[in-house]
Order: sequence, then C-alpha cells, then structure tokens
Amino acid sequence: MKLTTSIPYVTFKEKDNILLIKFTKNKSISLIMAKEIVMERARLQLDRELPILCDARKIKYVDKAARDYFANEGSLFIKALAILAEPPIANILARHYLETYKPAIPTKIFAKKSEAWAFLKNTLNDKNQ
Amino acid sequence: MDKIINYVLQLAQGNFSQILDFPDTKDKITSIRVALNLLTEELRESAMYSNFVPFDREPEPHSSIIYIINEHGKIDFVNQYGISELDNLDNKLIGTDFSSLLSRDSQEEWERILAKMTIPDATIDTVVTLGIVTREDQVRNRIYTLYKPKGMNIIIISLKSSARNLTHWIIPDSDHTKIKLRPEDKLMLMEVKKYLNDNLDQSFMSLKKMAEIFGTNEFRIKSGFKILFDIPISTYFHQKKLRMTTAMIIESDLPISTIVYKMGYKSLTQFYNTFNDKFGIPPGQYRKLYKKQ
Repeated sequence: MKLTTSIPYVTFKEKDNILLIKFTKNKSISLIMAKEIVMERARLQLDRELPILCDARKIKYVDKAARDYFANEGSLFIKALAILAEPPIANILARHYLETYKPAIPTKIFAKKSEAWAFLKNTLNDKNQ
Repeated sequence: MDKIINYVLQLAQGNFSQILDFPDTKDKITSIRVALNLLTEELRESAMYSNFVPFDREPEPHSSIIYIINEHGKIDFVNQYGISELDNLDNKLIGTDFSSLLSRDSQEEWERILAKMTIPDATIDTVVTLGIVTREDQVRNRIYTLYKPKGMNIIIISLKSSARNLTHWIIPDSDHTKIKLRPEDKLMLMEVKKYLNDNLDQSFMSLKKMAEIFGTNEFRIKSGFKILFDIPISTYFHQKKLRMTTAMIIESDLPISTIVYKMGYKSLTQFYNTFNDKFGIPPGQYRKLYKKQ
C-alpha cells in the first residue's frame, strides 16, 4: 500500500507490516533532510515498531550530521533494518554506517530486494526480538 | 586522480577542512571520493576530541580566525573549524546571534564583552573560556582569544591554546592530566560509549560495575572518558538519554508518561523537572510547539 508523503525524493509503502522507504532521486542527504524523513516515518508508523526496508540505491551521499541523526534519534521505533544498496557508492555508505555505528537493532545490507524482504519477515516471526 | 592524491596528502598533514566534490556517476573513482569524504568527516570529529597530534612538531591551532562578530553580536564570518565544531545544521551560521550558540553561563560573560562594542575607541584583547553547545546539546568549553581592534566594530575570535588542548595527549602535565590513555584504553572507552548509547533506557550503571564489565578500574573509565570525549561520563549519559527521550516525545503520539518509563526514568516528576530545566517548558507543551512548526 503506497503511503502519501510530501517529501519529493522519497516514497513510503507498507506491505505485510514492513515499511519500505525508497529514495527516488540522486540526493545528498543533509541533517535537515534526515529529520524530515524520520518525522515522516514516525507519522506514518503511528507509534508502531516496524521492520524497515530502506532502498538506498539512489542515495548520492549522507553527511556526518545526518548519519549521526539516523543512528540515534532516527533509529527509534525500528524493529529491524534492511538496507538495499548496490556497489559502489550506496554500498560504501551502507557499510560505513553499519561498521561505524554498529546499531543495536538487527541491521543488514542486501543487494537483492527478495533477500532483504526475507530477512525482515524473519524478524517479524522471531518472538525473541 | 591528481586531485585525490593532493587531497590525501592534505589529510596526512592534518588538514581536515575540505571535502572532495564528486559527480553523479557511480564509478570506482567516485566511490573513492565518497570514501575519502566519509574518512575526513570522521577524522574531523576525532580531531575535535584532540585525538590527532602531529608528532614531529609542536601541535598547531587548527585555524587562526574562527569567527568574526559584528557590532550587533551576529556572525559575519565563520571558518570550516567553526562550522565543524558546531556541526551546524545547514551551514547558515552567518547572521546568527553568536550568543545563541553558547551555554547559559557563557552567555552572560559574552554579553559583558559585547557591551564594550558600544564604547567608542574601546578595545578588547582577552582570553576567555566559553561553553559552545554542540549539535548533541553537549557543552564544550573552549578557550578563545577575543580581539576587537581599535576603531573597528568587530570582534575577532580565534582558538587560543589549541596547542595546549592537544599537548596533554603526549606531554604529561601535572595541572592537566592524571593519566595517559593507551590505544587499548581508547578502544575500551569507545566500547563504553557504545554500551551507554545502547542502554539509554536503563539507569546509569555504577562505575564499579562498568569497570568489572570492561576489565578496567573506575578511575580509568571516569577520567579517560572525560579526556577522550571532553565530557564527564554521567553527564554524557544523562544528556543523551534526555535527547533520545525528547526525540521520542516529538516523533510519536505516545503518552509522555509511557515514554518516560520506557526510557527508564524512575519518576515522572524527576523527568519533568529535568526537562523544564533544559527547555524552560513542560514536555507536553514542547511537543505541541514542535509539531506546530
């Protein structure tokens, strides 16, 4: 189900209790944009903790302030995170994020959407998480 | 490739002020540029924590002039160091009231200094410690030189004794440093910091217990954390906890009491007092104001 958003460079969809966030344009993400995205995500989630599939293949860059924000306040209400990234750029950004911040929530990088989806579905089924 | 080589050489000399530009292409050269920018940003932040010292010579200030303040107390100029120090949200520091970047205690001191601007032919040539509030709402005390040339209505602010701030890493100073941090201490303290960040919804763990978990002693954790991160460990934890709780208040419509107990505060009253001290208004009002914006 596509969800309505006013942010022009991102789309939100929800399917099977998984939230899909897709960046649609080549953008460098700043702190202001990061806050905008997180607030919108929070609004759409309606206080539910959900697994998130973030399609980051079109992201050009994420600056330090934005990365820090995503890793801290931006990680609230996330059950698990799958980052869809392709080499070389998105993959470098995703790896840097994972290896620098070592997020406490289950987080993995995938090249294939089907595998990302399967990972997130597992977290829904895992009662321990 | 020449540009990249020159850039790396600049980094090697401790110059973290620049960022490489890169096109929209997705080739290997662009990916190297991206990786170098990531590296620069992280090094820049580390250098602010005094983690970088050029070992072959006396440490030099990162920069000379950081800010130029006009007669109205607003920023007319700021260099890359100043932008990095505040990690300014959108690089719109020009025109900002300098006082708004300072801690409450420092604002009074600053107002006294600024008042001299109205006195004809007055000069300012002083060294002062000011608390700069960073993007993480932490107060970092910096020693600045303030200079107002005669006949000019500007205040030039530069970093004073950044060499002194840095030298305590390699030169023991009886006034300044009680311990020298070894590389393994720094790694341990990074893990302590991560542990704190991952357990913000708990009470602050005792230093004794922390020392047991991380295989060290209380003194090394307490002093080391302060030296490495420039903030006492319990202050860091409580400020971060408040920041995350505030984010949850803003980002959700959950009852505030639910959020407060979810984040491990023992009492609603204690939280309300802490919040009010920081923001001047109760959390419910803050939420309404923020969402209205």
